[in-house]
Amino acid sequence: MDCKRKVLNKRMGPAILIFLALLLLPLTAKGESKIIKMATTTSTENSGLLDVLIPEFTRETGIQVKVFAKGTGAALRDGMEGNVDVIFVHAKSREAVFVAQGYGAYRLDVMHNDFVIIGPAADPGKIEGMRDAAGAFRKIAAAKVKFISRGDDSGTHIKEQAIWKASGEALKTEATVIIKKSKKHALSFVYPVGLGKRYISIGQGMGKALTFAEEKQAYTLTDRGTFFKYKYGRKLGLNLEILCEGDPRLFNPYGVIPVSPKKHPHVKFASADRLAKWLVSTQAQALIGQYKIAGRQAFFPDAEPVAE
Amino acid sequence: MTFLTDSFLSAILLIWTLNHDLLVIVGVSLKMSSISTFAAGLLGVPSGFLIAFSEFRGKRLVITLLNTLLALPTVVVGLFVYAFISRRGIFGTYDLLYTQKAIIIGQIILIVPIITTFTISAVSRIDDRYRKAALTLGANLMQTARVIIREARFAIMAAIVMAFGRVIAEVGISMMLGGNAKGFTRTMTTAMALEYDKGEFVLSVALGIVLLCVSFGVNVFCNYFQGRSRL
Amino acid sequence: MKPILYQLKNLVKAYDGRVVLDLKRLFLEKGKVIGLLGPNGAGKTTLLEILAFLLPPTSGEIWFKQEKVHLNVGKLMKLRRKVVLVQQQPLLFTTTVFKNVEFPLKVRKTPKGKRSRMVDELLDLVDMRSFRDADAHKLSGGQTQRVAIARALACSPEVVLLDEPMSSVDVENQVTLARIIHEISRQRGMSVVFTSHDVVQTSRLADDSIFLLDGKVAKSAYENIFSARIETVTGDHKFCTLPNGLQLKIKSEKTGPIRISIAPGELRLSPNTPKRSENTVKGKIVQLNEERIHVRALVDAEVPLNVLIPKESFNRYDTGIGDDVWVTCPVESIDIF
Repeated sequence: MDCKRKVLNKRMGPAILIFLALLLLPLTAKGESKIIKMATTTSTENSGLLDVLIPEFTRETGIQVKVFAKGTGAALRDGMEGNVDVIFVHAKSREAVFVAQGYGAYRLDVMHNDFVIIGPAADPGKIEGMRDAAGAFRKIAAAKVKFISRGDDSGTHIKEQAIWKASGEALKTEATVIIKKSKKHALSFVYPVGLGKRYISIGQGMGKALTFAEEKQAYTLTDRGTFFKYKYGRKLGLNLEILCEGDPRLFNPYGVIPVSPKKHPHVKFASADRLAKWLVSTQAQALIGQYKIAGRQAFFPDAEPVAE
Repeated sequence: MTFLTDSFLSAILLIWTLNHDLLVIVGVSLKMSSISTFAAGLLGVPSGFLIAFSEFRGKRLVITLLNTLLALPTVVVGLFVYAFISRRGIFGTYDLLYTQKAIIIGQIILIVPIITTFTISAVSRIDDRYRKAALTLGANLMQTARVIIREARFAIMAAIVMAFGRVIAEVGISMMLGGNAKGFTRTMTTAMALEYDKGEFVLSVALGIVLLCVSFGVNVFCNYFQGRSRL
Repeated sequence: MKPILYQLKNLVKAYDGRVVLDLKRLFLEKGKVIGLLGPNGAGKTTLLEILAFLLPPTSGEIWFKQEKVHLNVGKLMKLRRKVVLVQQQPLLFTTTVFKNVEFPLKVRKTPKGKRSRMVDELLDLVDMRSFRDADAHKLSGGQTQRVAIARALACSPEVVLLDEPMSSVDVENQVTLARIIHEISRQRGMSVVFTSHDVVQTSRLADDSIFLLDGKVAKSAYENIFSARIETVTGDHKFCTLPNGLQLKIKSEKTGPIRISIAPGELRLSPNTPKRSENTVKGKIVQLNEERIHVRALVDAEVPLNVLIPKESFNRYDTGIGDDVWVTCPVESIDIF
């Protein structure tokens, strides 16, 4: 045994040292409580707004924020499991449930943007200039043109399903039964039967849905911010146009929710709380109002001034 | 631990009820993996054979390149093909992106190097006396090639099974070129990635278990097939 | 003299500049059993592969049945179907014995019914009928050799080339192989060329023997081989000195260290001092062996010299073991390497 150890020490000494040093690296990083994790949606990150807000927050408070962009479902899931300290998403009803179940400490309205229906400039569905989103969906279904669905259980996907329900189109519910907590549990979503194979559910983020729609010259529902970024923020702008906008149904509110320390004592509530409060401060709200994508305002500050 | 048991039970439930979505996904996966493996085999086995048995300048370089391509990340293949077939690429007019064809093209590019390299090593390991024996017994070049491929058939088959394993398990190409469109280009792996994104880990792992079962089935089938071809 | 089967002219085979075969002129007669003798590395296998049209020579000409062989692939295919090579420790294909023997018939598109009958006949010839459906890779060395010969004969060749058929085969199989070689030569009229390093065995089996040493045809490949050095040059003649000081007159372009091989059959033995004393050494007979038509004498002339004398000549001399004799080595009897 002794002999073996000697050999190990001689040959592997440096390697073991380096290995240990590597092991220690994340530990020292963790030791600094000035980093918090935030789960948000891909559309929020794609819009580029966070690249303005987060550095400003860090400059002011010294707290760094690691951003994980996912679908709304996965972001909420991360919050429920305590993998992140704060979530910043746009699915109001599910956010309410999240807080009600005790996973979130509280929810603050931060801002809203809105959804728009986009499609090819040729507009085979003849929806250009329409305000009524449900009506536009009906025309799209009737015109037998392709429609791209996020299909990823995201806020945008949830909104899209709500509009289909409002449109009165024949819908089909598809459910997959799985076992959750040892009980049968159905995962379901609805889609319009009338479109048949022209309804393409891709299960990917907003950016991918936009490029997919461009590739297929199809219609899709998108948030305005991401659309601007892809349309005007790139050299080769997206070859699709806004065809339907302004319906109150397309309103898309964003909320920030620090994860409750009661459910997950390990979360950095103090820092998360500061971030949430900072996002609704006059200063951050001004930044949000000024944020422009290709010269166009993309987000509208929503917060009531909150006393710190 | 309930997470794993949940996943396992869900997998059984999905298979037991012959869940329609699952069947479509498994069907798409199997169909595309089979087509791309078959096509890559048609390309890779003869090219491996030719490279092994011909002498030309830069042969070693070609083999080194092929070996390097074994480590080709799926994302690189995806990007490369994407650049060609997207609406703005030179083949944009063929409307290939986000179709099954696109996935098959990408997967073929991914595994041709695997099949070629392993064919080279398989036939190189075959004793040169087999080639000479076939020739002296009056075989022409094609018949000689058949003899060598026959002698190397187990190793070549193993390469093809490996290539199949690589394509059925890859996610980068399917996601980037197929776009994960439900019912068309959604494969087992992109479905898993999606369920993970949605936070439905149980379903994701259940699909993973199904994928392993399918791969197991394919391997058992191939083994059976090899066992029979011995006679 | 029988018609010429092969004629090789200035044939050289080199690998990366290293010459392994260098044959000025070689004739092989048709219808004979010819033994190619020589130690390992003498170039026997290379020569067989060239004769089988499997290996192109680096330079030189091959004539097959009075026709010059063009080394392009299309024509070689035709020639290859007249000649078959059974490799040393042959490899059978990974299938049954039957399918192995059937292979040459299959590639020649012989009708199926005929194939089966021919395979059975050939398996009978090599005594392997009972192994018809056996896995070819499970046979012993001797059985493999016999199946390989049956497979070669299925080609109905004009020439059968056998590389070391007797090595790594037990005595019982050697007897069977000798019978098979005899049968295909005498009954089927095929020419046979085989390699071996066993002089006795070869003399029993072969009508003719050819010796190969260092890639060249030698008068002998085993006996009377000496290292020497060319030192004295007198006019047109050169002399080489053997390690023990013995000097022999030779014909050679070379200088410096050489190897010489002296043909035992071309040496002259006499009980008295011969009149012409060029290249003559005195020695003592230390061993005598009687062969078919020759007597083989080992003479200790400071170097051991093997001398092969026709029986009737030897009987005239009335000499025996222990007697002094003079051995003359004609310049032509000495090969230089």
